[in-house]
Amino acid sequence: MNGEEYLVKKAINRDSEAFGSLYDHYLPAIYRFILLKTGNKVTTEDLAHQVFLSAWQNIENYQAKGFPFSSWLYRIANNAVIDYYRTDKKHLSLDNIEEAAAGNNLEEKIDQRFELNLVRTAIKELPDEQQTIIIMKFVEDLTNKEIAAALGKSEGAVKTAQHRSIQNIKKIVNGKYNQKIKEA
Amino acid sequence: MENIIKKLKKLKDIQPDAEYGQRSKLVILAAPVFPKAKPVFQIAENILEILKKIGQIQPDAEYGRLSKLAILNASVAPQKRPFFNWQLAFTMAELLLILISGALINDSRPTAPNLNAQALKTEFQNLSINIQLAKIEYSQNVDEAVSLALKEITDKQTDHLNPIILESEQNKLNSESSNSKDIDNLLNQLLL
Repeated sequence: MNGEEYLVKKAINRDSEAFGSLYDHYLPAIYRFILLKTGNKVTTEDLAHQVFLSAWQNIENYQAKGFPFSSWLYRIANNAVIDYYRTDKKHLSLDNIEEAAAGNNLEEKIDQRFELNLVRTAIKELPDEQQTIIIMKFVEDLTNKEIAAALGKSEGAVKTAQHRSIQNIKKIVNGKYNQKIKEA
Repeated sequence: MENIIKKLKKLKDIQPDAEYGQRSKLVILAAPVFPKAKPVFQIAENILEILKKIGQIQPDAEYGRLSKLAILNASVAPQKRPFFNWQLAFTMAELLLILISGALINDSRPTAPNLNAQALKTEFQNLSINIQLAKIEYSQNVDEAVSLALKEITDKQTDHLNPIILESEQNKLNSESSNSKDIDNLLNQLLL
């Protein structure tokens, strides 16, 4: 039994310290996942809180079946985002993301903000499932097995979707870059 | 020729207006700086690196601390026990098997009355008849009671309206009241 399995088992037995450790470990990833999908810091904080609250209240329903705990959390997070868009269609604010990811040096900051803005808006233009795959695979480094478990798909389907997603995002970035240069 | 050279040299003395220079500098420095133009293919090719940078985003530490506290302090509703109880199901299946096998081993023996469809059907039919009979009996009783009550109301010769009986009742009451006077006197004596 590895460390995570041990913590999950303890958390299932209502050990709050064990769940606290899982929370600390997975909050940044779940937070980023939601932030990239919603683009709003306040909404992200609300949804991330809901995701972990729901996980803590329903942890008895988690069944490992060879998949990491993260897959289960991503599934809850994905559903939370879907529900959010179903009930509350708000405008996106991208500032938080570029601000959060940019470097310290001013020039570097401007450069990075520009690039991140391009990529971020490109991600947003992808179909929902491709967005999820791009974030899980290329931002969070999840394995195909983990992504497949979180999305309820086969590994083969995830691989195909990955390839398509990265091609699409490159096309969108190129298009956006050319448009910005023209505007300048 | 020399004059021209001197004049050209004089042109070097031309200076921009100092205030203009000041303002212009301020406006330039305040303007947004457009990023260094990178070749398009470079951004597209570096997309994976850019995505990795997004992975550096961290939630606010204070938010994380407060959210964790709130979650761990949240009341957890007791989990509903699964509706399907395997142990009970196995016990029931075993019981059913025993009953069925018992019936199969000795087919000549009459089957348990509870499992006999014919017996159940007859019982059900009898039940229905019994219910109907009880209903009829109840209706009859109610009818009789109602007709009796109506008869008593309309009948002027009934006991409770007979003047002789009423008078005797009155006398009885009076005699009872005289008794009560005696009792009162006795009580007064005791108290005094």
